[in-house]
Amino acid sequence: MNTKPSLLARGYWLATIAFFVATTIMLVAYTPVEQSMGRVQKIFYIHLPVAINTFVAAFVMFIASVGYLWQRRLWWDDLAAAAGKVTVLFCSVLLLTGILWGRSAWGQWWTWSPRLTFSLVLWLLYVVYLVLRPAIESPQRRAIVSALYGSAAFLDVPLVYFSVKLIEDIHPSSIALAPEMKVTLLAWFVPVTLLMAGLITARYKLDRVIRATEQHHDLDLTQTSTVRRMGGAV
Amino acid sequence: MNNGDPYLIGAYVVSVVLLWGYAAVLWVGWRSINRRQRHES
Repeated sequence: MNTKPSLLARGYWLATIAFFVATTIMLVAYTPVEQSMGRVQKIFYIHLPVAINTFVAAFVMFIASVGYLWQRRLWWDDLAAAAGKVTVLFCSVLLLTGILWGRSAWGQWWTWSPRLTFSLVLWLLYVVYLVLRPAIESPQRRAIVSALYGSAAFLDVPLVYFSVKLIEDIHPSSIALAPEMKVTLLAWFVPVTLLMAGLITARYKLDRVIRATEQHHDLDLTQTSTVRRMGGAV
Repeated sequence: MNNGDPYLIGAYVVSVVLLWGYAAVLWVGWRSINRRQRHES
């Protein structure tokens, strides 16, 4: 089993790092300061791409969960687990960047507004998913329970997205942007999306290799114990 | 430095530490798998 990173993988990660550095430089040197909120508004260029990629990672987990329920192949479960971990990671960054921006902009660390509350619920739902999985020993049973839970948990994502449009909320639903700001925002989507996709892929492949290694070791142990029971005839 | 700067810097640092920190964890995981496979072969 070849586990060394391919040239494509190395190139992918180098490109992601390069884009991240370039967009950081843009943030500092190119993007103008927003007049009403000042420099702290620049958190927006990280916060929004992370938010969208949180939803995308959750959607990947949803598709993989449904895929497992449909086909009962364990690779769907591995994909769902990988996407679930990345969803928690991105949602944590979303909440923390939002809390820091809120403290500066609204004068408070937290408020129980609809969008913030649904976002916290999203984070909790996916954390519970990660806590639930190791508690179930059988891989098939773990996969079914995780898939059912993962499919249902995704229902919070549209609540987060649409809440600010449908319910009155302190969280802004849109922000007017100068042309340079729009360019910076679009640019930030590139490294954040590459990171999200790269992390899901890397986590998925790592879990597949670990699963295959464990199965190989279990097979060795079974064969060894079979050989011992047969008195070493094989 | 104005009032919002510590929050901007904090948000950036949090993002880098969590996102790239997780990438580093996965990288260490892969290195460990590669080392084990080289040892077994």
